[in-house]
Amino acid sequence: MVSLISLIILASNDVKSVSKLIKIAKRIRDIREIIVVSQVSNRDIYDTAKRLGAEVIYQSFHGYPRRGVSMRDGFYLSTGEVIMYVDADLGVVDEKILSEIYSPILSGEADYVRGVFPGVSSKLINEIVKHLADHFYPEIAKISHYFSKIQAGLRKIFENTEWDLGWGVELLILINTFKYGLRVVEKDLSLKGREVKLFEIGSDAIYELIETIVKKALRDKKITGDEAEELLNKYRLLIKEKIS
Amino acid sequence: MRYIVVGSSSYVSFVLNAIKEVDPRGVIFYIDRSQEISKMIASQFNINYAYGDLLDPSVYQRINADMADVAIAATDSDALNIRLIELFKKVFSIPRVATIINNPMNISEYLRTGVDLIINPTATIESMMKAFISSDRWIKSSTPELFGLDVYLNRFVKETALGITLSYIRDAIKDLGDVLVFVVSREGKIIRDPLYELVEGDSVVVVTPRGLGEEAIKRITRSIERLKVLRTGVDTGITRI
Repeated sequence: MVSLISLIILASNDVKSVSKLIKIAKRIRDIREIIVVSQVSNRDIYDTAKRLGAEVIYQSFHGYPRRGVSMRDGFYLSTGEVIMYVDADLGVVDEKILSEIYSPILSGEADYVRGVFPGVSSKLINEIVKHLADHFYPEIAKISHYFSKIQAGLRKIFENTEWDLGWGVELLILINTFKYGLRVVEKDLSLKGREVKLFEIGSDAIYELIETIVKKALRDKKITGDEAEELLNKYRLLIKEKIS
Repeated sequence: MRYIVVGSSSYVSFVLNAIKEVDPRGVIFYIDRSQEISKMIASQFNINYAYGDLLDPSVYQRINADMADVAIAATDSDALNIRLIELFKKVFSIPRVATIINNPMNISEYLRTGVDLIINPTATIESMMKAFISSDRWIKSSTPELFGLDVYLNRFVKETALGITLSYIRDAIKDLGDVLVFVVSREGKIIRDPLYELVEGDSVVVVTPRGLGEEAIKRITRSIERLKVLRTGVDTGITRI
């Protein structure tokens, strides 16, 4: 039985959501630590979260929000045996949803749980990225979503991961989790009345995912440098074609 | 002296260069999470290296971190730097710990750790940019905390029409104690003569003990505003710092 969950809130410009999430989390006994990673230079988020007793840090990359940087920074500040990430703009969070994600880990049924909302997956990701990811890392074929706005995993998963600084961060976490034979569960949270804000994924983000997979395959010696270059050029053109 | 330098942010090579230059006989240990990076940087600078989980004390025990005189946390994560500073201070009692901040918005989190020196590279960028695109504006120059000084600079252009003398500026801050004010002319000559009247392109340098700089500049600015009202009869109500 593991204890001490570190809740890491990834916050953009939504002070109200951050404040609501902290208040909910404080009512949950298993959550012993709340860390807010502010992805923007908004002082309101910092002040509000501090006032409510959370630990706060601005993401190290001073510019636009970078998912991998924020997840990594939050992890480094955390001390919990279970790390739980929630995007502040998820919008549907209550105690029950949080519990649906971390409970399977506490009970030992899973090592990494990812909340998903089927139907909100990007068509482009399924068409372009999934095919490539499944090719090099067939073990992740059963994963339906590469982005999750609510997820939790054992500390060792994040300790051993290679931190991609952008959108590819969760892909690397997934590849790493499967590599160590850990159990990944996708939890369907799409019940009636739960409306979530979609990830706004543009061509840059799709390309970042492609780049993450190709570079990882190169590091793992599954392809040569020339092949990697060729693949990247091919996908760059393909994305351009699909987007236009 | 023995040094520990941790992380692979883009500033690390400058840190290592600086140490090698001022203490060529110093013993330097470079540590990163990746074996490949540690090895590469160590061979570039001809120093020792170690690698592993950067927050695992055993990585540092292996290199006798408790014997180090200086540790520098220079990763590209502020959160990790903060944890490293705590580790160096609390677990290994390293006497002097420095860091390089990535996002200056995190400065208060760093200050809480008791770190001895925070290097903020962005402060230089801001000062240089302000100096480059403006005149008649006071700019705080970035000086290392440990020097205990505040340095402010102003390149006078339009305000020279007011007939400002060096003694006029000095008078504005005479109650503040030890404040050094001098002029650097456009030709790079240092001028201390109290009767000297500023001409276009002169830079005025104000050096105060740390913490007094802002007050000194406030007083000088107020004094120049008063002079402006006297000479032109117009109260702009604008105070620029």
